[in-house]
Amino acid sequence: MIWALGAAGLALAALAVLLLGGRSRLVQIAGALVFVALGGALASHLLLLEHPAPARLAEGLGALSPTRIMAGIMLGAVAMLALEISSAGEGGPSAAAEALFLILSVAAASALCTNSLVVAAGLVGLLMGAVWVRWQRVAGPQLSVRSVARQAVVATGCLLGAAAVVPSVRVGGAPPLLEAILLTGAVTAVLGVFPFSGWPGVIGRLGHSELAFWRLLLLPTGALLEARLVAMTTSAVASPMRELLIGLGLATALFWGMRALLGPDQGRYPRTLACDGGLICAGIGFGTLEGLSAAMVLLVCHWLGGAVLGPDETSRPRLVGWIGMSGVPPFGGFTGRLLVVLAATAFSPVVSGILLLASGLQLGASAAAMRSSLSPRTAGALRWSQVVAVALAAGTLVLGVVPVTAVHLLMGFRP
Amino acid sequence: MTTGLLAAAGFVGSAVALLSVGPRGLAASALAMGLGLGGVVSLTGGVPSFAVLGGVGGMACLLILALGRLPVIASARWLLGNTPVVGRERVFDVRSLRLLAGVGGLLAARLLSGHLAAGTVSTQGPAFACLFAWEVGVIRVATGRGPSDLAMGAFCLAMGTASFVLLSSARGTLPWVSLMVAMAAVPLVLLARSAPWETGS
Repeated sequence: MIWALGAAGLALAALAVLLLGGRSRLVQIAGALVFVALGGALASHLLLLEHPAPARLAEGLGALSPTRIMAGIMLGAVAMLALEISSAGEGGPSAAAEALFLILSVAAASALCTNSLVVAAGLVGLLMGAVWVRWQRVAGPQLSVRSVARQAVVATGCLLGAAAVVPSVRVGGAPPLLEAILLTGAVTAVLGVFPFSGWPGVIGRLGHSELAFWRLLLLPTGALLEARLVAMTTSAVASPMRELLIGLGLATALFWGMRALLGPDQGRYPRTLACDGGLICAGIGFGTLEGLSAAMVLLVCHWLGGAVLGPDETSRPRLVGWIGMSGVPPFGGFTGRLLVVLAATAFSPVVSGILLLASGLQLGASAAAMRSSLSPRTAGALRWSQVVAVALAAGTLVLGVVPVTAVHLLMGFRP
Repeated sequence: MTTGLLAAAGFVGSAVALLSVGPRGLAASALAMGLGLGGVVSLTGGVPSFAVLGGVGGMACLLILALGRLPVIASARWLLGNTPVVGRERVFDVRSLRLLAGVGGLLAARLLSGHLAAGTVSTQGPAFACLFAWEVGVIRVATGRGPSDLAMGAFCLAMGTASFVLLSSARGTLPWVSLMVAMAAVPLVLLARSAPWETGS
């Protein structure tokens, strides 16, 4: 407890440094590194203790029960943000964005610790609502930003609705399919998969650095929320919920894979990320170890490589990032997609075929992006600050040959 | 007889929320929903349950009206920045669109309410009012033209959920239900005077 309180207090101090330091590069790096060190102390506290995941959803405000995988994923997200800050140029995340990210990471971690749907609804609403307000202020009154606001309201509303009808919470019964639909609606809204996948259209108007909110925060939160909800509901609810999630994940992967392949180079990375969001959704929906591992590998792949895939990046970092993301063996993107297909083989050969098709579309999109990365227009000298980004992107190349158990360990997951 | 009347009051409150437009409409909606659904939950929870939903609705109504008198606060502009309006031609006016969707929602709520068991309440009427409030929230979100519509949608969703929970088991649930509806009222108050993103008929 002393560790946790100390870490929280010092983290607030680091946050103040970030807020007051403005865009001073040294202050930003120092503040971020201090925050990561403190997060490490907090995470070690959580990781060393055994906190069994709650078996069932609780009524009312429930209880907070931190899990190791939550600590691992949230620590990873904050660490990646710190590295992204240290490697970004002038177009990197602003101090306000960093401060908001750090505050929201606490909300996300709390949402993933609770076994109460009401508390989760409030925290998810806060998380997504804050991201919407931020994007609304950055992009101005774009109609496409509205889709993010809708996602926030739908996620909150579905979780609240589920709180009223889930049998483990309420006496009496609602049809399990209704409960499954409500929980699926919440998960898909947070993950940004069909029918709530309008967010990639927003990114083009915001700038690449704003994508960090989705890539590092909302996507992992949605993935973990999905895994927790599937585990905490009864089998009568979990079964249709998993089928819905697999179906919607596949539809998202196919649609955004096609859009990534055929669309302009400007918005190719957000579309690829949306496609992988569908694969993550389906992977966790399979409910097997391979599916969960696939989700983790894909998340890490985007954490490592996503920062350098903006349209303004110079050719070399982009090329390295796209190669890692492409799905060419033995790199990280390939391993993640292979694991999803392996998870699907026990489910249905048709589903495996659809997943292979989506992977093929992504491979084509990555090839097109690599070709444009080699054009003289994007060529430029490598800045010293980009070395970290290139090293991170190179991590996607290595990720494919790293044992999956190492990824489990990194994420705090012990099967 | 009383049950039917209270359920009808809950339905009317939700219908006001379905068709209201503008900041004053939002204030009236919050009050109507609070009083209407408060009456429904008083069937099992008595005065405390009514006081929670009615109080939150009334307080939200007062705050929306009060903030309108103090333009210096302008919480929506402070939160979202300036929001110029985009014109868009539509086949139906937004109220007509909501009305059409509301008729569908009415039928769906009527059908679904027979399949939901709300604790000890055996009649369909109260569950129907809760479900319709929830559907109004969905309709407001789906047809929303701006932040205030979305905030109203979230408020309706929270009120529908809260009334169903209180109807099922009022004992022990009152504290967290109060917290839930109060939190849903905050964005409604803050964003009630935000400009719509789009206009058009």
